[in-house]
Order: sequence, then structure tokens, then C-alpha cells
Amino acid sequence: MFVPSVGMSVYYGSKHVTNGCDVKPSMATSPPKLNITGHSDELYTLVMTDPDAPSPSEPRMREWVHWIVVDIPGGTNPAQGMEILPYMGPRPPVGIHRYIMVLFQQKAPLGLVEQPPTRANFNTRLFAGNLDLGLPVATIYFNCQKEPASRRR
Amino acid sequence: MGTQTMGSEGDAAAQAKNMLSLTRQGSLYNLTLDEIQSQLGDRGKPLGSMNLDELLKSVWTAENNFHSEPALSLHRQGSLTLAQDLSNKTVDEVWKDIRQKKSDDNQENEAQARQTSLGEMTLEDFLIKAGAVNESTTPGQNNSGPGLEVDSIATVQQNVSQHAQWMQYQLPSVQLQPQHQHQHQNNLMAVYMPTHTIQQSLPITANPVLDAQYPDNQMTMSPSSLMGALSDTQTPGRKRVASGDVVEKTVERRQKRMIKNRESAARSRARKQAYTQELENKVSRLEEENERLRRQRAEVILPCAPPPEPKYQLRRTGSAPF
Repeated sequence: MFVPSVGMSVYYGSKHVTNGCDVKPSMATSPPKLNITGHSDELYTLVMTDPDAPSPSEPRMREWVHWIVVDIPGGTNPAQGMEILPYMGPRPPVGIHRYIMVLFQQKAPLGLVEQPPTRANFNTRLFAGNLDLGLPVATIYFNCQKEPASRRR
Repeated sequence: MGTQTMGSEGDAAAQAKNMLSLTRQGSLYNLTLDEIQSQLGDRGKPLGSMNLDELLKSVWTAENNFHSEPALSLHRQGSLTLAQDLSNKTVDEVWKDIRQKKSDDNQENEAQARQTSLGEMTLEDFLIKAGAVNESTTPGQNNSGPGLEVDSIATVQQNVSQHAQWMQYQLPSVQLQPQHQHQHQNNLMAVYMPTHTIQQSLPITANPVLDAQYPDNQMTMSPSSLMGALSDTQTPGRKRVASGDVVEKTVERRQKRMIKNRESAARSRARKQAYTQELENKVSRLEEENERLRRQRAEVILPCAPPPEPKYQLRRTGSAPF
């Protein structure tokens, strides 16, 4: 377990994301407005994954990585960092998925990190280990499910 | 509640304090749940699906019939009142809770070895654990949010084997149960159907027990790994002439569906719990901030209660009067 030490606020549109809240896929097609606190002379890495891919009852592709941004200066947002893996909005085919955003504090600038070969079967822990990121300093998660295609009768 | 012939002796009160003291008197509490079930056999209701209320009622009335000494009829309602939610649960649910508590606490396989199956546990142990379990399982484990799924994958394998072991313990009790020929199977039996499909269903049925709390993600992994193995063996047998095979597959499918459903329900409950927890945290944070801000505001106003500037200073005093 880790102790959160940096503030992170996430907004999809006007919706403030709090742990366990529901977000519609249509609201999350674009990257959220995300702001972090932390020291301005520190760099942070953000990873967003879906551990319930493709379905919560059978998460064969756990985790599906949606976004990786490194070298985010403290007190700013991901636009100021280096986007290693472009943002992909949630598109849960089956069931209600959790989407987790994890923030790590870097020990040094990372620059051009190698993109994972595939978004599937990502392992955040391993990724953090490889880049020597240590424990997370902030996280947030929300739920998302497929919106019904047609209107309710 | 059944009428209790109150033990006239004054020490009924003292005895009521500690349920465990009953063990000295060789009461029903010493018997295993299996034996109790056979004693209660003619009550007509299987042990597993009884509410704890009913279970205790039956035990008490049985005890009263069993022992004639009034000293033992100390089962005043006060001595064993169950928590509201506990008494409404069935024995099976409480048992699940107990198992879950155990697998939360110790992840070693030895923990499983120590545990007996439901049938072999004494009523006393069961109630103690039920009582203990109910107090401590409060929804306070969601502080870390999703708990970083990634966390659990290593422990999942361990858990899977644990539950395979647990299933083996259940088998002996399953074989014991058939002695008590009830009209309807109790929950244990219904799930662990003693047909040849039991071998396959063993891994599946391990999972309902994993009513894991949300951050405890071990549950989500094991069904998939086991189900993955099983789904390969299943071939669509529709539109074939009804044969033993097809019937069996339907049964299997139904079981799987039921298990999937249970897991989904458990996930849903966990989600709800996590959300509620988060809301509660938010509320308390906001209340604290509110309080702080109010205090701050009060402090700001009081000292600055403006002492009215002496009005006459607005008139010129400095310039020469004419």
C-alpha cells in the first residue's frame, strides 16, 4: 500500500472524477483536464489503465493501458509532459470496468520511453519497476460501462 | 422466542455472562454442526439455509428438551442476542464470511489446513467466529481506492490453490450430509452436486465463496483462470437429440451462469460499498472544512469589529479656524 502525497484532480468536462464515480464513455473520449500538485522541480509520470478488460468477469487482457505521460512537471498537467502512449478513451465492451489513473514521482527525467508493444496485458507494477518509479504518489479511479445503443422504450 | 423456564437459581445470571461456560455442562454447543443437524433432523429445515435466528431457536428448544435441569435454561434472550444483520443471515452466508475473513487474514495454506469444514465445526466455534466476524468486517478497507489491481496477480495463484484445497475439505462434509435425507437439499448440497460433474464444478464453485471485498482482487482473477480452462471443454450441444451429455452440459451451463451471476453481484456490492465509503469520506472532509472555515470567519470578524472612527475627526481641525 502507498501513501498519497500529491494532489491530483481530474475533470471530464465539468464532471469532477472522484473514486468510484461513474463516467460515460461519451464524456471520456478526450483526455481529461488533469492537474497535479507537487513540486515544480519534480517530474511525474501518469499511467491510466483498465484492469477489467475485456470483461470484469474474464479480464484476459488485464490491464489495458490507455495513456502514458512522463516528465510532467509538478503543479502542471499532462500537456506539459511527454506523451509516450496517446490517450485512448474508455470503450468497455462488456460489464462495468474500472479505470485507474496512477501518478508516480520520477527520480530523474525519463525522456523518450519505449512505447509498450501492445496496450493489452500491461503491468503497471512492472512498468514502474522498470523505470524505477517507486510507489505511486496519487491515484484516482472511476467506473465506466457501455452506454445503451438505443433509447429505452 | 420460546418460553424459557427461568432457572430459579441465582447463578443463572452469572452463567449467562459467558456462553463458553456452557461447554462445561456438555451442552449442544459442543456438538458439531453435523451432529446438531441430526438432532434437529425432525425440525424439517436444513441447517445451511437456516437463519441464525432459527438455528439458535432450534438449538435452545432442543437444549431445553435435552436437559431437564433448569439451571441450564439460562438462555435468556439477552445472553445471546445477535446483531440485527447477523441474525438475518443464513448459516451459509455467515460461513462464507468466516471463510472470507480467514483468507483475508492469512494467505498461507496452513490457514486452510487448520480450518474444518462447516459440518465438522462445533456450533460454539461457529457462533464465536460468526460473532467475531460480524464485528470486524466493516467496510473500511477501501481507503486505497482500487488498490492497484496489479497487486494481486501474484497472490491469486496462491489463492486458487487454497481454494482447491478448501474444496477437498468440503467433499468429506458433502458425503456426510446425505445421511440426513431431507426433502430439499441444503445450499451446500445444491452447489456441490454429487454427480460426476462434481469434478469439473469443483473449481467453479470455489469462487462464490470468494465474496471478496472490492480491493481484494483475488476473486476477479481466479474465476477467469479456472473458467478459461473450463470453457475450452464446453462445446455447444444445441439442437442435438436430448441425451445424457446435453442434459449435463445444460446443467453445467446453468451452474456457470449462476456463478458468474454471483460474482457479478459481489462486484456490484463491492462497487457500491466503495462508492459509499468515498462519499462518507468526502462528507467528513467537507464537514471539517466547513467547521474550519466557520471558525476562521468568526475569528476574522470579532477582532475587527470596527471601533467607530470618531466622527468629529472628519471636520477640519488642522486648518486655522476662522
